[in-house]
Amino acid sequence: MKNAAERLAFHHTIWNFLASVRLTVIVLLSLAATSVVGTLIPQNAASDWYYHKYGETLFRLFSGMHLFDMYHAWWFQALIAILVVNIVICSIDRIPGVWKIVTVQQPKFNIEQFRKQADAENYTVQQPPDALRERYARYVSRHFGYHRVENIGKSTCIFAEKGRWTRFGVYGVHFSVVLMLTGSLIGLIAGFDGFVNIPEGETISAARLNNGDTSQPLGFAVRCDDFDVSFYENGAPKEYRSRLSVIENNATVLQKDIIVNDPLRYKGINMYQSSYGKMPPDEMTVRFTAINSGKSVEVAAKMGETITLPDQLGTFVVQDFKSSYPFKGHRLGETFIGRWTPASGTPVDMIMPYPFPEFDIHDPDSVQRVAAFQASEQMSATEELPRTITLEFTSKASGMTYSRSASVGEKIEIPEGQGTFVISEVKRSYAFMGNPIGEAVIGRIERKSGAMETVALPVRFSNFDKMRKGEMVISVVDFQKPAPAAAGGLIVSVEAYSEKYYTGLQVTKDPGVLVVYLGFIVMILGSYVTFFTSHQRVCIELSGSGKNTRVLVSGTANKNKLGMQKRMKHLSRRLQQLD
Amino acid sequence: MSSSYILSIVTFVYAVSACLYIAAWIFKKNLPGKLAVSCLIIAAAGNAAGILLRWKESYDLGMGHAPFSNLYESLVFYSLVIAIISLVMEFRLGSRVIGAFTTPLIFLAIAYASLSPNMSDHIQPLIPALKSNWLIAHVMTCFLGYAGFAVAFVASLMYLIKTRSTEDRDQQPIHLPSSTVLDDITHQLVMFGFFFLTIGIITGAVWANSAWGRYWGWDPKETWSLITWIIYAGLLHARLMRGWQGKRIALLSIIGFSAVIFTYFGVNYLPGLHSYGQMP
Repeated sequence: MKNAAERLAFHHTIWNFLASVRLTVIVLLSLAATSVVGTLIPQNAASDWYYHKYGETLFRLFSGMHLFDMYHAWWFQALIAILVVNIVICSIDRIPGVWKIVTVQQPKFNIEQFRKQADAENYTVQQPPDALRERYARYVSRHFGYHRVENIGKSTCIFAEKGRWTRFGVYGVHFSVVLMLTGSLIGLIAGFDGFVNIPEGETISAARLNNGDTSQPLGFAVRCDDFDVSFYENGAPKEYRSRLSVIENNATVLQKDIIVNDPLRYKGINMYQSSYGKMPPDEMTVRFTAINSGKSVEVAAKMGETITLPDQLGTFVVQDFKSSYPFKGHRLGETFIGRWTPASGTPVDMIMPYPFPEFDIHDPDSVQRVAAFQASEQMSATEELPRTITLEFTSKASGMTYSRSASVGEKIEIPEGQGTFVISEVKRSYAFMGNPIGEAVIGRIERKSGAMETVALPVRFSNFDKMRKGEMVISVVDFQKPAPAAAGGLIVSVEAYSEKYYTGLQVTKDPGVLVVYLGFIVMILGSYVTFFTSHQRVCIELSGSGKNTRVLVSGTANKNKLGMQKRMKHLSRRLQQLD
Repeated sequence: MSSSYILSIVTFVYAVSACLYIAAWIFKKNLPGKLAVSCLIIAAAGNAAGILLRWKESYDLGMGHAPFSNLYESLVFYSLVIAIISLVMEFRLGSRVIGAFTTPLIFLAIAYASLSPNMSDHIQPLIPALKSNWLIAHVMTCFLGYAGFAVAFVASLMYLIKTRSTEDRDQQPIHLPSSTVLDDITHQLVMFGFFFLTIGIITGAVWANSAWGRYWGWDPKETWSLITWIIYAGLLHARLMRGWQGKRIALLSIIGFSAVIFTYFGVNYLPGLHSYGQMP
């Protein structure tokens, strides 16, 4: 028996704690305080960025506390869950009491409570109470939802009240918070959030999810018919517009131009204009000019296709396109990279900047022209030349050697699932134990476990990395340097190329949005009721006999007491004006 | 006459009004008080005219958007809303003292907009993300909320000054509304601000859902507006449910307003999507 009583008392304590405002305030303040942290640490960045920024110790600490995605961390979600439990229990605890007040048929009025009001209004009228009674009751009935006339002792009392239901307003606000969080939970479980790039003219039927590398089929296909970007005179973007066609069973079922703020919605899936870019061109016109004779020839070329040049000049292939190309501290802009194989001799790699068709790497004037042009645009660049670097990974376990190519900053997979490798920089002169050992590639290994390691790979010493005693020995085998665009007396330039954009679309499905929006509406209405309306109770007491009546006008409200005081002043003034 | 020119004159009128309000308060004189109110009304009218003219100018320039798109425009609108709330409170209280505290704040806001050398008062075309009907609703409600909190902050300061001066017997009591009234208007204005901040956050969420495909993304500005909202929610719960009053509420209101200021200015120094308010 005693046990049961104790358990009951214990349950009671727990319940009271969960229903308490103290808990509400603690949880709210914890949410506010912890939210600050997430605004100071950028969220959801790449882990090597964090590692670089915070160093190893802090990185491990923050990572362990889930601070890099803290709003989705278990402890933050737990705080939100406690808030919901608190709101629900608090409501269950209080609503029955409020329900009684709101639904009562005959509300109780305590005359003493009204008489005690310090700010009650008093005045005397030279008319008998009975003459006033009818008139006052009629006035009150027009302005209050409920009223009744009662004789208490020698006086007549008109009791009235309105706005009983407004006591529910605050529960509306609390309920709306639960609705919003429920809606977001629905979205989390039944929705997705992804991204897709569609080149103009091409069709996709799946999007890549933002969390993880999985692909999400859409259930229909989307074609990008056209993409346009327009700019204001000051160069700021004016509009991004994609013309999309929804295709089902080989038929176009919907066509829509989407812009930012006006997405495509189809079968619960939304597509938002999010980014755009240029596709690497696949067709271009290349001009070959002999420096000595000035003779030139234009040839149509395709990316990656070898063309044979006239006059026994050999063959040429356009290999690559970069939207921006730094050269000796200058930006050359959109640049093609090609390889010329003369009829006799070794192949030469060439850079062909589109904005500078006359560009000749051996001609100092040519470089200076680029410099002068860019000084006027106030561009500054200190980048190193990007190089395509070929690395060899030799596995200790299997003895296999793998060859991989990468440019600076590009992340590549280390074979045999050993993690990833990024070339962070190329040093012109690397010093090892005080001795300069020439050019070296500096890179970073990131293991599956998240552990990082920086390695230096001198170009001239291919066995250097053996010293590290890692699972893989990495060495630099090909350290490609960009070659001149004018070699052997030939200037190669790209005259024109096919321009093609792709549109970047945010793809989401969120069936919880409607619930969240319902929560928004309930929140606004509930807040209005809670803050700007109140349950007002009024008593007009008429006392005295014969010709004179003493009138007491007194009111109480559950909120905004000062406002109620003003209302009573107003009411007593209006009553005195009644004829 | 351009809108920027009108608004720089308005800045000056606000300054005159602030001086007159302070003089009227310190010397307890009626005439400067009357002049101060007239100045404030003229300045607010000029402020509103400047905003409307700027709106028209943007149409003349072929951009055609509401003047709520950058830090300059938001500060100008903020000044107007604080001025209106201050006038309403003055009328309701029947006391001019509040103006002595709000007008310096208004002057600071609009002077920062008009006079700061690295603030652009040029009308800029809207970037694609801002082209939405939600712009007006979102900015207006947010700044109504911010302005409510600003005047609540002023009332809290007055409350603290008042209670300190009454505690200190040796000192001449400072001429201020009673602490009960100041406590009450703090509460009223916090409710007003909270209501509009709530709508501001909600309209922002609906807008974000149509522009970025999510209604909430923990962007620093979003998060800081939520932090502000939570602080004021805490204040309201402490007052209504635990009966907090007076000094503790005044302190919470001051903390809340610091969060407002950080949401407004400080967030620009954090990475995020809401960079429209940044300085060029």
